[in-house]
Amino acid sequence: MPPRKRHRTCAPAPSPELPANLVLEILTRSDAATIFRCAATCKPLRRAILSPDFIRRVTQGPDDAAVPSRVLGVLGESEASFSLVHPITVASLTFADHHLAPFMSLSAAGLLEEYAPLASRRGLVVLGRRETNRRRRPSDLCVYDPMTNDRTFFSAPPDIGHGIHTRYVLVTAADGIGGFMLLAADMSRNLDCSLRIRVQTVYDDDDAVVLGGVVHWLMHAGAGFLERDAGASEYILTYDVNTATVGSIDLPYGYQHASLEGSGSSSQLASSPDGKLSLIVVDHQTTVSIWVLSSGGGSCWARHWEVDMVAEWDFFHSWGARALQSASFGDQRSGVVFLRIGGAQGRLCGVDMEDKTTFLKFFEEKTGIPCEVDLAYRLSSMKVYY
Amino acid sequence: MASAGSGDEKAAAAAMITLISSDNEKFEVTEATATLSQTIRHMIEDGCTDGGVPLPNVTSKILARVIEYCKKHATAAAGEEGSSSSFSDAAFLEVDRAFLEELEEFDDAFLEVDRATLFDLILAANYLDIKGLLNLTCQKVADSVKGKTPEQIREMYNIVNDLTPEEEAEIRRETQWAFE
Repeated sequence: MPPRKRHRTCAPAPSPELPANLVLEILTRSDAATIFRCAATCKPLRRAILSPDFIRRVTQGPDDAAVPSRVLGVLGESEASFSLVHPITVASLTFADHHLAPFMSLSAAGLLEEYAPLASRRGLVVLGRRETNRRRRPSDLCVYDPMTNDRTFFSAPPDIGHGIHTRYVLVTAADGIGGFMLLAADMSRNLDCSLRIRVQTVYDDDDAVVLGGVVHWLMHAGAGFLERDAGASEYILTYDVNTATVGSIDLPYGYQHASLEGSGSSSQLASSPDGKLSLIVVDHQTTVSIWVLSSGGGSCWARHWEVDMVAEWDFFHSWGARALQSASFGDQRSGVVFLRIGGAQGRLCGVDMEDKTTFLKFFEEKTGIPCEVDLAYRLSSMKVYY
Repeated sequence: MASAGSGDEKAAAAAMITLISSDNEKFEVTEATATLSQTIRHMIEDGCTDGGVPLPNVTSKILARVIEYCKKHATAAAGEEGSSSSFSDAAFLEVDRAFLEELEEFDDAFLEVDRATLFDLILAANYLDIKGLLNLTCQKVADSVKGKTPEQIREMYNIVNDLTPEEEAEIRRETQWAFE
């Protein structure tokens, strides 16, 4: 930390009446908006609030922590709205319902009339122009930050079409690069089933998982033009943003062609709370297993947990619930993976990877895309003034 | 108000402690009342309370209020312990609930003070290390800060704004959602 300069004109402490440690003591009992506003009052108090110790204290406390570390919600498809999904605590409800949602509908109503959300990662959202015509325009795409109302416009990638083979990934500052980067990958296959990958910096996809600047896509058999070798069902394709190199990771040995047609299986990638690549597999319609890839040397999968939702929730079938489906709520750092429940509208089944617990959520189903806001990261990346 | 320490018949047998405020006023309190303060508890344990405990950071006005709080909460704690075996569970819960309600009413009334007094109580609670009182007073201030603009917060805490207009604009930009 650079040496502290004291200007004679400044207040020596946040308050002549209360020392900084007591002002912080008070702030731990307030809410996220108050804490962010207090960080805008003066330099000493801002420094105290942005210190790693205090950020840890207000974001990682028990359930009643003043600032929810991460808030997962759904960004409305047709309007500027943010509906909270997880966690349901007083702090995150206050943040989502009283601050973020009203701010969005106030500041971005016009934007979301013109643009539809395509995907979101790390709190940034990629929007695409609703009205499309053949002509490319410099404002076909927009990267939008719901917290600041920042907007950056792009034209659609020049020689990558809007086809079903185009995958988009948003790599953000939180992944360790400056600013953000939009990747568009054309994954169409040639007639001989070889994969042709072209990467361009453009926009986003929510079934890719980015860890340490490396993008991971789960590649399904049959994604190619010619569907033949079903035995080679799935693998993980990687692309390192920093070195522009492509690689691949095999799926766990014990997990064999689960995605074969008709077996009702589905899988998705996720990140474990400590930032390891995870694979969530739904098998036999209601059994969820979680695999985690150990980092270091040889990549090695270990089965982290397996749970049968029917055994866990005996009323599961009574709601008319059928098979679970991946909800692409995958790349979320909260360590919670959500699965949609087929046949039971508006219900999500959550799996907490850390606690190894499951929960069910009644969720006002709005079409939209999952969007996770990382408040702990926002706080820790705010600028400190001296 | 300054005559705190009298009328606690129940604790007649208990040891009394003398607390001395910054303006040299003496307060006689029972050990049970005084030991709600961890700071004083440690002094008692170390046997250095003979001749009174000087509290150079606390004025008589504030000390009287602090003692008022400690007495109420010490009685509450004693009441809880004493009643646990002599009532059936339901009756005990009933008594317990009434007790908690009374305590809550007391706390609410206790917090009806101006901001300067509230800040002084926080300072005293912090210095004397009285967890319950610190929590109570800090929560009161936290509730009153909610929804305030940075400008109003500065006024509340007597904060001098040392940010340049450019810095302020930059902060506002990155924290838009919190400013509405």
